[in-house]
Amino acid sequence: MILPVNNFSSNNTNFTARKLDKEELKHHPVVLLENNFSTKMMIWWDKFTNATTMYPARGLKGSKNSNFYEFLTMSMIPNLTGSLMFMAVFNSANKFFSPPEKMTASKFGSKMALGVIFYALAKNISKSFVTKPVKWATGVDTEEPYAELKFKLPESKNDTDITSLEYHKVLESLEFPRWEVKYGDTEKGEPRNIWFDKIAKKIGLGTNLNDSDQDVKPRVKEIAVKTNLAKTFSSYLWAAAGVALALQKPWDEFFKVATWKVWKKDQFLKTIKTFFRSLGNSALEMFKGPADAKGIFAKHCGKSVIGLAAFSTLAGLANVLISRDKPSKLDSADVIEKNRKYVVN
Amino acid sequence: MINNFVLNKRPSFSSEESVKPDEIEIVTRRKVKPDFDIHRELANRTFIQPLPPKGHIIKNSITSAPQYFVDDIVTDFKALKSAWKGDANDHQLGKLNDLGMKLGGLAIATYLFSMKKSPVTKAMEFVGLGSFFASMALWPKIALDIPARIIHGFSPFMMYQDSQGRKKRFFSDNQFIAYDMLSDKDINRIGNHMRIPKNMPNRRDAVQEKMRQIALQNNTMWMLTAGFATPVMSSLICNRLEPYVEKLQNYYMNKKIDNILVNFSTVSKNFRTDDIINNVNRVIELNSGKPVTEDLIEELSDALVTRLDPNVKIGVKKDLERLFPSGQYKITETQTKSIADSVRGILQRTAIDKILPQNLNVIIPSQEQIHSLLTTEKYYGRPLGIRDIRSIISEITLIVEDNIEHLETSGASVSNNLKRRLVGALLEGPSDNNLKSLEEVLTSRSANILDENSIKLIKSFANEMTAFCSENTALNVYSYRKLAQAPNTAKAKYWNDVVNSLLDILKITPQEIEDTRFDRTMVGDLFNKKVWEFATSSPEEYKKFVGNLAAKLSQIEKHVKPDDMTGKFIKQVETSLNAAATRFRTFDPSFKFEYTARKLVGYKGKENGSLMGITKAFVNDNLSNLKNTFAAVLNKVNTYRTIYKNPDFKFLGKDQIPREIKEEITGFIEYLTTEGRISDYSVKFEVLRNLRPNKDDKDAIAFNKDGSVNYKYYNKEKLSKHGVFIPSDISFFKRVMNTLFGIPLNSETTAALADHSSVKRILEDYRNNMSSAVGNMYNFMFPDHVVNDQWDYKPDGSKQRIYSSSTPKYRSNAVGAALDEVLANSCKQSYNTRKWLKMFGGFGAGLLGFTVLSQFFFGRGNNKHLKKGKV
Repeated sequence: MILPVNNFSSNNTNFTARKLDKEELKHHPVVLLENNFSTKMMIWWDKFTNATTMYPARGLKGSKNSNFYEFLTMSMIPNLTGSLMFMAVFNSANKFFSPPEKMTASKFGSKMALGVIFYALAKNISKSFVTKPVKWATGVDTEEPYAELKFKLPESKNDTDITSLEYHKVLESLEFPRWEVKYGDTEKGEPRNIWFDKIAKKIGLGTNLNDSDQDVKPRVKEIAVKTNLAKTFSSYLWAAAGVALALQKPWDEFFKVATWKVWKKDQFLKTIKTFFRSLGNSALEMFKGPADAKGIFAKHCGKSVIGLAAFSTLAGLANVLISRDKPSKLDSADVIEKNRKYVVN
Repeated sequence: MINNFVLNKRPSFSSEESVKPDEIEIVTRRKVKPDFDIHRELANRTFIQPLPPKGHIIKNSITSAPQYFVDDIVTDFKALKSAWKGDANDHQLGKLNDLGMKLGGLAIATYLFSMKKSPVTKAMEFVGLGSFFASMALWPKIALDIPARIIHGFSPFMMYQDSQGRKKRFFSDNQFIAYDMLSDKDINRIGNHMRIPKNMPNRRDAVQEKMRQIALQNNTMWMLTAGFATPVMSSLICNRLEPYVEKLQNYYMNKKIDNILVNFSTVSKNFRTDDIINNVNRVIELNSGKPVTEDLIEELSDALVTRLDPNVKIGVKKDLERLFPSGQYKITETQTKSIADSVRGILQRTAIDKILPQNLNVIIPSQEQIHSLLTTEKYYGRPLGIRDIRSIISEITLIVEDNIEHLETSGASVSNNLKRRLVGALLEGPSDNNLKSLEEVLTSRSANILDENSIKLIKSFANEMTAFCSENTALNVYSYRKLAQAPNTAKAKYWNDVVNSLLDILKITPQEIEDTRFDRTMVGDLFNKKVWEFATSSPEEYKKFVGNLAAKLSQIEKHVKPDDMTGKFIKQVETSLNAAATRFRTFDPSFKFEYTARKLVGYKGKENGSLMGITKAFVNDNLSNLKNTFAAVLNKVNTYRTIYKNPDFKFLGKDQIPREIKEEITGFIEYLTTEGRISDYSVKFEVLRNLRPNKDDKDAIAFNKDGSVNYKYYNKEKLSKHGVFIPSDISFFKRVMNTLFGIPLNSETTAALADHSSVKRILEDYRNNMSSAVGNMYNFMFPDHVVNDQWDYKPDGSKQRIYSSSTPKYRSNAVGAALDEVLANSCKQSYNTRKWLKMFGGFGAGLLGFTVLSQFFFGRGNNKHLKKGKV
């Protein structure tokens, strides 16, 4: 979304933490956003519309203004088209098959399509299994977003639209975190280290620290790195569990009645009811293992996948939280000892 | 503190631990470098120069690839370790995403692996995972990188390694490109390739700008196409790889299975488990020293046949019943009280309210009286039959009568009715069903005890059964893997291979498959048409066709090895089972496990119902069905060729057959060899014929240009309206069967099969079988309606008609599967695969073409300042 400064309306930013107006954007191009569902959806939609229109157009032109953010944002396209293509690979040709084969192929194809959806849902939802407890326990929100107004080079003489809005996370880069957005606004009377003081207290560094920001920053980095690890690994394992869930037999019942015809109230309600019943039964079957499973491996593979995903979440969380209250592992050489003599270079 | 932070060391975590500067004693440097000259250092500025950069472009070559591969793995694990410790950098965190994706993919593939039944589909899950990641990496290489290198002279996907050893894409960030890693020579070479004027000012900048533009366009194209390409490419790779995976698995499976017969004594030991011994020991432990009941015999039988055919259990149970015969009881002294109590209970229940309690006490035999009785008559401790038990009961009634007599002598009176009832209750049981009868109490303990001797015998038997079981399992595994009606057996693989190849050998086109695939009859007609085409072709073409068919069929020797099955395998079955039966009869001189032995090898030469019989039948049935189904294809081809070469049907005899009959025979053969099942031979051998054929027309049958029969009479409108089934015309059935199976193979077929003796043998066996087992049936269509008469000539010169003694199952296997059904399934499968390939292969090819072509349009915009000139 390219927002010319003079066209920017604060009415469109009701999801932000602070009220924005165009004057503020001119002087404060980085605005911290509230990390909630509505913001996430708005950011996703904004990124999606740009990734499918503006960024590819700019990329194909070879524009100098196309940057790494746009390249990364465009990765939404292969994710989405790849998912749709996967569904197509397992379903598109089925209609040409003879009836019994069509039925068999569609059964599996529908489950694979559901698997693609569950993969995406499980992968995204499961991230909060790690990030939320970390936030509650340490106060560090590794997913906290901010909006940044970027100014680009004019493409031509008539190009007056030289701004571009980007969405990042404060702790997106652990080498260059955007600490400045976490400092308090002293002009408004806020203590400068207000956020760092809060985190220091929460993670047990104490209160009234002289330089809480200096003490807290390395700890936050450590927390963010460990959270990132736990989030990444566990989300892919939960995604795998999502696919496994979609492949269970009870879904056959759902696909028999499934309809998108919302206007046919009874049928649609039945679809919804059957969906949840199949979901429950599938989860149960996945955990217990299929009735016709032969051997321990086939019987327990489903619960192993769930167990592995849960374990990765818990182990990752433990890795973050156990170190929370412990002092950093400092090298003895880093600590100034009163009784020692020191040489100033 | 700040210094620590800058140096990436952690500061102290608490302000309380901080040290105030004034508490530290600061001293001056004690040692100074002796030759350190600050002015010289400053003048040279050596100490403020950055370290020389180590970054470089990665040149992909066969020699460096393994090194980079190993480096990547090491880097991934280092990233994981650093992230776990909490000190990973951004590059390392990016690596974790790739690792996580692979881990998730592995979890999905493993789960799918657990769901799939056959080894090939299981293996394909991991092939699919590998192909997905390979496609992700290969698509940009093939569709963008290679064309870009050719067209623009550089790789938009080239990698570099920075000074910290991190591998990155050179053009990943459009606004940060480390061009200083490219020498002037490299840039000039690329500029020349791009035809950028050599003498233009700032040529390097111009080349770099164009490279940036092209790389960005490639990056964007990559993002736009990868999502469409990766799943399609991955699926296509899997589709192409599946046959090779199957072949590889077949090779190893066959090798492993064949090894069972080659090294039977060694390999069979690998199948040994102690399940039988453990189960028997468990039962013995629980019941040692206890009487042997029916339940115990059942439990022991189950334990002794663990993992064996349930049929064997019948024999084992019979042997155990012989070992522990029923109807033998034992009474011990410890039981005396319970017997006395039982007698007291029965008499009290019978005489209640009919006699004074003190008088009843006199009547009831005391424990001493019963003990005395059992001791005097020596009933304790010896096996007792039911007669002995009844004698004891009579003796007890006599004691009761004596006691009554004794009571009456003391003045009390007992009515005759009560006397009868008391004695009756003891003999026949009490009226109260809750009370046990005296007989039940006395027979409560069997004379058979699971004692030391019997335990020893059963344990030895369990050892023998274990040894036999390991051999039997090895034999079962071999026969199952070779011939079972299950996926991935040698039989299934051979079947699929032949059926799929038939479409190619018969030259059935994709369009023909598409037109007929929904209808089995249409597939049958197509099959007929194709066979006629080859049957009426030139001798060379016919020979080639039969040769191809025979070559494919001869692969049965490679996969199933029928000679091994009927030779070595059956011999091994006989050796193992006979040896086990002998051991069961002789391992203990005091007891023969005769019935178990009989369940293994049969009795008096009859194997019916025995394990030996079942195993042999399994092999023969499955093998004959397989061989005969495909022999029927060859026989059909041979018959058509014979008819084509002899359209006057002289091979059936000298009599001139009317053309209409010839056509009816040919038409019926077409039907029978396409759709015929065993039911058609036994009950449905029906064909609509003309009741009054034109007997004057004795011409030979004629053929159309496409090879099909030019029917003049058969299958015409008149026949469909007025045609009738003529069951009484046995000669018609005889002529059909004779044409198909009776007359010798034609010389061309024999010549074409010269190099495939095994196939020829299979074909001849099939024809003989059909003649004798089916043609000689007493009830071919109707009772005594035999189409192939056979006689038993007696020594006295008389003869007697004999009929086929084959079972329905045997005949069914002799006929094999209906060929139109076999082909229809194959057509459907072939169509589905082709349709899918056409759809996604076409899409993939289109996408590849579009992506490659787009390269020609990259680097063209806003380059007006770069006038093309001589380079």
